[in-house]
Amino acid sequence: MADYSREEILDKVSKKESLERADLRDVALDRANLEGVNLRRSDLEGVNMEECILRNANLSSANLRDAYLVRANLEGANLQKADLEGANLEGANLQGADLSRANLEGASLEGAKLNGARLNYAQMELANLGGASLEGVQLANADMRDAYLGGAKLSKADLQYAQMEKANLEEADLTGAILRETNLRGAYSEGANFTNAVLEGVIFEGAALGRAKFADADLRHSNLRNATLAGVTMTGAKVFGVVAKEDQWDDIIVDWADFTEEGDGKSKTQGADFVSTFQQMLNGNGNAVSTGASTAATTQEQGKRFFGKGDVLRNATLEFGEKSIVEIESRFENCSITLGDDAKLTVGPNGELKGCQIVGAGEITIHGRFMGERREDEEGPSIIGPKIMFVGKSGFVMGSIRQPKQMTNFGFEKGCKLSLKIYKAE
Amino acid sequence: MSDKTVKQTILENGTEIEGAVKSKCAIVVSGQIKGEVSAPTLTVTDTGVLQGKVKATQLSSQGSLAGEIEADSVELSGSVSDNTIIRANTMEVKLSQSSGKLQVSFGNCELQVGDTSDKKQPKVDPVVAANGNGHHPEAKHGK
Repeated sequence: MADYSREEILDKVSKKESLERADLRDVALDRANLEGVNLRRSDLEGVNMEECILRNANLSSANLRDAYLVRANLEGANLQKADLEGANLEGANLQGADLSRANLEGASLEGAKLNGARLNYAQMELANLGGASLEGVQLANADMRDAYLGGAKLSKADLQYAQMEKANLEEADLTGAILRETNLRGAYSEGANFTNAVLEGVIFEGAALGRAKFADADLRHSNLRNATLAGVTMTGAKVFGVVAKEDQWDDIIVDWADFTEEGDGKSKTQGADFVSTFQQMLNGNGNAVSTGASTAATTQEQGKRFFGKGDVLRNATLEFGEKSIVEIESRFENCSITLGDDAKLTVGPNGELKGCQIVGAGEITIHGRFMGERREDEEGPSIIGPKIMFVGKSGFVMGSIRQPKQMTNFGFEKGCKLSLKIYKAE
Repeated sequence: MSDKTVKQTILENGTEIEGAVKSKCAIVVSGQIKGEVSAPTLTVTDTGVLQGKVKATQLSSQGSLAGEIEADSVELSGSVSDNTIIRANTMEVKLSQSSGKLQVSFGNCELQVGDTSDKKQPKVDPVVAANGNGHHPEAKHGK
């Protein structure tokens, strides 16, 4: 039984009285004028609030699970931490509303207006935002995995660090949006418009990007591995450090692109030279890696780098700074690798390091092959000073390790192969 | 009484043995053994010290190992002393999750684990491998 009837609620609202923590389940509030009401922590689960006026209402931490809010006016409302799981907000007006950390999992917001709304850290997994207006919306760190955003208007939206794995962005407008380090792995984004968007360090791995527009977009250090790029527009795009294979660019539209690290547009590579320049960037030289070239993708300031399968790096000297994250699926031969403190180096299942030396207080994980046996006679042990040395079940390590004074934390998974000499600190 | 009770030799903490120990049943070492040791299953507890030439099918150690260790499978924590060689088909060392505390501390030692191409296969005493029946399998076939 609800605490108040519809009439009592409307009476309280007219007197500007608070309904904080009220149990209002089963009350029909459709088309009610509740402007400015305080419903903080109230229970409105499953309530019919169709076309209800809730402008500037306080609904923070309210329970609105499965609530029916079709075409409701929630402009400027406070919905921080509100639970809207499964709620129906189709055509609702949420412009300028604060939905930070709200739970909108599985909610329907089709055709809703969310321009200028705050949705930072919101849970929006499987939410339906098809055709919604989200211009200038703040969605940084939001969880939008498997969400539907087909045809959504997201121009100038802030989607930094959002999780959008397998989201649908078909024909969505993301002009000028900020998606720095957003995860769009496996996203369906055919025909999406990323013109002038900031896409630094975005993970587009395996995404469907056919006909997408990246004109003047900043794609530096983004990961486009296995993404489909047929018919993509790349004119004016900044592509330094992009991870992709050269054959992925076979069917793109590009008049010119910017391959410089600075990405200031001062140096233009003509479209006819795009693939060859990209290939040169991939090949780079031994020292180029520290500046992010070769196949390395730096996705964070402190350095997250990936060396893809099929590439070979010989006789290179590589230095990775403090807390860098390095993943190697390539073949390295006779390379000297220096790891800064707490840098994490992972040799993936396809990775192979032959005749290499790794020095520094980093964390080393081997799932592939490390064969550093040649180095000992030449330059001492093949691995010197690691904090952590972990060999996975598919890992193979042949060589020698000199532990630091604090000793190495070793981990060996059953199935790994080792021919390893271990030495204490000198 | 069922004779399914697992037989094992227990060397308690405070006991030291020097010489050869060969057993058809499992050995649990909480004390100290120096010398040649062979058994199907060897468990070294956190107070145990095993030093010498060791052969086992399964070796699980939380204590201290030193010498030449050969086993089919090794589960390791505790410590491994200087000049130790461990040869095994499989080895498992769990990565310590707590900072400052190591699962295993390794001295100057050598690990030969699994089938590495240019290294010898780990060799396990066939007597030990014969399920503790005491018969040497090669002798059985008259070789």
